[in-house]
Amino acid sequence: MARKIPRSDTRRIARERIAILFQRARECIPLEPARSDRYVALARKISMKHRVRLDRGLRRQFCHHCGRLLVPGVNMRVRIRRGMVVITCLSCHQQTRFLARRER
Amino acid sequence: MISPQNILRHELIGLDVAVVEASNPALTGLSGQIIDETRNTLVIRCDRGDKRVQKHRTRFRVTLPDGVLVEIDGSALVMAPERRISALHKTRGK
Repeated sequence: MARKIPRSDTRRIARERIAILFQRARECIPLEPARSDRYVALARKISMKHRVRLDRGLRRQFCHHCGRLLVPGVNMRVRIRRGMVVITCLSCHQQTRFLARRER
Repeated sequence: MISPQNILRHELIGLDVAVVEASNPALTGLSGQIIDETRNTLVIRCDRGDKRVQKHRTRFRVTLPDGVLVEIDGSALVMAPERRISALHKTRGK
């Protein structure tokens, strides 16, 4: 019989790895944006493969169109428009909209 | 946390590594930081530039963030990085 690794265990490691990759992506984006893109892509692959939902902080940290890490004031523009948070990626000029809801 | 028990399933990017043994003799002794990983290779940033090293039949000595040294048989790592997490390993690091 094959032993199985509990899913809780794989998900815990997946979360840790995602955090590490985003951290690395943030460190290397000023000098090597291509490497940073690669780390974000790897982190998203891990999240999808193991069905770990990225928390809101991480979800809004990269462009959902081109996959690049978004750095406020450098390659992203944030506007509040009609109850939406509109994020413009200045690398690919696409916009992503999130609902702006009052924190409860 | 990355430990000798879960290193085969954890993130390798960012760790310091040295090649202990490789089928390509020019690569033994190479050391630096892992900057990328694919199914079959690791890319190591060393003082001679970025070197792509095959995993298969290569022994690596990895320095964990807490300073512990672990020797890994690269053959156990031959797998896409996102799939390694759920892989079952007969020997879990040493």
